[in-house]
Amino acid sequence: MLPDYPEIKEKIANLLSDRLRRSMAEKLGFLGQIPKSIIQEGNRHVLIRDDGTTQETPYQKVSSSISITHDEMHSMETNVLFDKIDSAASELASQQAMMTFKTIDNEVSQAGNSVDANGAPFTAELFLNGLEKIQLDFDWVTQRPMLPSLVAHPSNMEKMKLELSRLDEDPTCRSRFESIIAKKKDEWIARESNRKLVG
Amino acid sequence: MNGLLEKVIENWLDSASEKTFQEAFCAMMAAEGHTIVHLTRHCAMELGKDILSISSDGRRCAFQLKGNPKSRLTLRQWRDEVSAQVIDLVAGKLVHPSLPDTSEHHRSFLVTNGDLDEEVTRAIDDMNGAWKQQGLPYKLEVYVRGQLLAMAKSLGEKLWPAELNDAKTLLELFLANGRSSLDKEKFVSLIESTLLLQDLDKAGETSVSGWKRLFSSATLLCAVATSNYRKQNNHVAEIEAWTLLLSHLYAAIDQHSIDPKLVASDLQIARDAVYNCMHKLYEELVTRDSLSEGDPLLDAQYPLLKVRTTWLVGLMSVFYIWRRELDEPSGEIDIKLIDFCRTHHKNMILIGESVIPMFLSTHWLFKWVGIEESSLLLGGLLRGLCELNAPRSEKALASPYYSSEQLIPYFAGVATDPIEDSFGGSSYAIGSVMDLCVRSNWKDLLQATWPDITRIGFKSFQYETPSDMLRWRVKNGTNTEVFQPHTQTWNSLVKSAAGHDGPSIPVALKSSVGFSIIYIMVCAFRMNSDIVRWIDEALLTLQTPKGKGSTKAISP
Repeated sequence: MLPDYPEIKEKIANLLSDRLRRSMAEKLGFLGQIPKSIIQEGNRHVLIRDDGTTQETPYQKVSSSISITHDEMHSMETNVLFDKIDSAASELASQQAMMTFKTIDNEVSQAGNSVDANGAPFTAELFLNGLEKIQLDFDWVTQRPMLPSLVAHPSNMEKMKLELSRLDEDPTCRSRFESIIAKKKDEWIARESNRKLVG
Repeated sequence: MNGLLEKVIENWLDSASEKTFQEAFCAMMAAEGHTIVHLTRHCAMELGKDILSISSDGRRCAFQLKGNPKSRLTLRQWRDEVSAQVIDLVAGKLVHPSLPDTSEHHRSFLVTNGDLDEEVTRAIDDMNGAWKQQGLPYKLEVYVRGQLLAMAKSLGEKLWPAELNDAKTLLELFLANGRSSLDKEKFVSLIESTLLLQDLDKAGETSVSGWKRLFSSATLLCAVATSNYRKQNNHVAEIEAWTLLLSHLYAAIDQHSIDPKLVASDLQIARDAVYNCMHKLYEELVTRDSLSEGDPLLDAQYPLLKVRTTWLVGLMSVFYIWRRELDEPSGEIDIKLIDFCRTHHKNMILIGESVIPMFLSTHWLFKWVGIEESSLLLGGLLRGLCELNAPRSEKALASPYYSSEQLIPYFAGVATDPIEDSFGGSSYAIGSVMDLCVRSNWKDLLQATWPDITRIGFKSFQYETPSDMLRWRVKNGTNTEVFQPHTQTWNSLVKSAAGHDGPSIPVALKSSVGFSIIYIMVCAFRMNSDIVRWIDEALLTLQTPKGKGSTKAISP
């Protein structure tokens, strides 16, 4: 055996793991803010909803590899190692995001909640069509709706903001938006008042 | 490798007191074919016989242990202390319900982990000679250090940890700071490896006698690995270790289809060790002015004292219950146990879901003895869980997979890394607590909290086989999260909470309600609605006189 430095390597490994996690969280953006639950044991996960329907989530693997040549080993500086970690984090984040969106897509399709624009650009009307299909919760204190987050490609961001401003500025859009919110609030009140123990 | 392990054994033997080598000696005798019947608690009622057993040829045996680490039993010690006890050991009648009734006189052994002075050897020879001359059936036999060492080594080199990782683990445990908490993960890895719980191929090749030696080996390993904790009188760490050993012995029995009678002694040793440690903990508590430990300035740091108190109240609560289950004669000890729990329960802390079993243990004690606080405790738990573990809550209680030791740094403000896990919107304990409230007929409370209850996912782990519940972690099984229907009927809740057969609970846990409560305290992630309902019903049955029913609904 050649001389090794396991204690130092353990510290370095912890630093690199930390960096990987932070880098992934950054690249995931708002997806990284979705609460995470650590699986301590077992190999399956089943969710049983309040309406009795079940959903089994198969565990899926995300992986990325980092390769280092013999030459690189002799000359690699820390920032190069960090770049490799960040690159792996990008790949892992990308895989995780794809999995998340695929899952959402499947669930939405099954529930019949998808709105297909058939390639047309995003409009306020399209947004309102989607809003009509989803369940909205309201804040108990402010009574304001907890509106959904929208995920878009950065190149579409400005256009989307412009369209969304029509919800306030365009009288037709505003009227429809307010009508939908009122309806959703009634649904929320009915839903919440159904939370009761009877008999 | 084995030379090193032999050194560990030698080191342990040369530093052990009679209290600390008792269980290990029992394990060695069990490996020799003895059925262990009784282990002493080393209390004031000591009757000169530390261990009672039945040898493989059916003879009754009595053992008196003397600690002489790295020294010799001197003539003075023999005269002043030992010889009188030996007379009782040899000539006294052996009385125990598990001992066979026979006219043949029992065998008597003096066991020391040191050696005997020549004069002592001579004195024993003379004594035996005199008895023989008088035609008496008395004889004192002796085990000394060399024989104990040989017995420990003779359990077989294959059975000691052969892999480097396992040997390292044993050493780390053996050298651990006995004042700290038991590293349960490390301890369990050693036991699981010894009992072949993860090596099914090797398990399939193991003979019946091989299993007997493996079980004795695991018991001996437990005694050796926890010796520093025992030296420090760290009773809670020992309770955890022996509880985990016992549960994994049971798991191995189920998984490998072993006849429990074959390894009954090892089960008995572990069970008695847990009980004896509880008693020793009680004996310490009644002599203390305060529950502070170590440097008081550091101990004052929140929440150290509260976490300790939570454990102690939970353990003393179940100790009372276990004593009732074993039909121990009622006495001052029981008054003191109730008094202790009543005095200190207000200082318990709900640091995470891992301490909820301690609260339930206290609730069960209070309910048993008719203390009104039982309802406040239980009702408070349900309301607390509804509030703390609401969706998006930042105060949510950590899941029971996080022990109180792991959580203390976060409450004390000294944690270095954040916990990357979310707990808001779900709970492992809420189902159990809710069921107990339903069983107590608290409809008003359930109606008031139902909307909040429906927002929290009831988490649980479904095992592939019941015996998986006896293990620290398992690879296969289903993590389940259930949301309650928004509208529910009281009758449905009552029907569901009434079920107490516990089909998913392993038979081993159902053999003792006291041990079951301790088990879910040590392994809080193994608490679920099934076992909580079973315990609740079992306690009702224990308390209720035959032929009469009694339910007590105390409104929160």
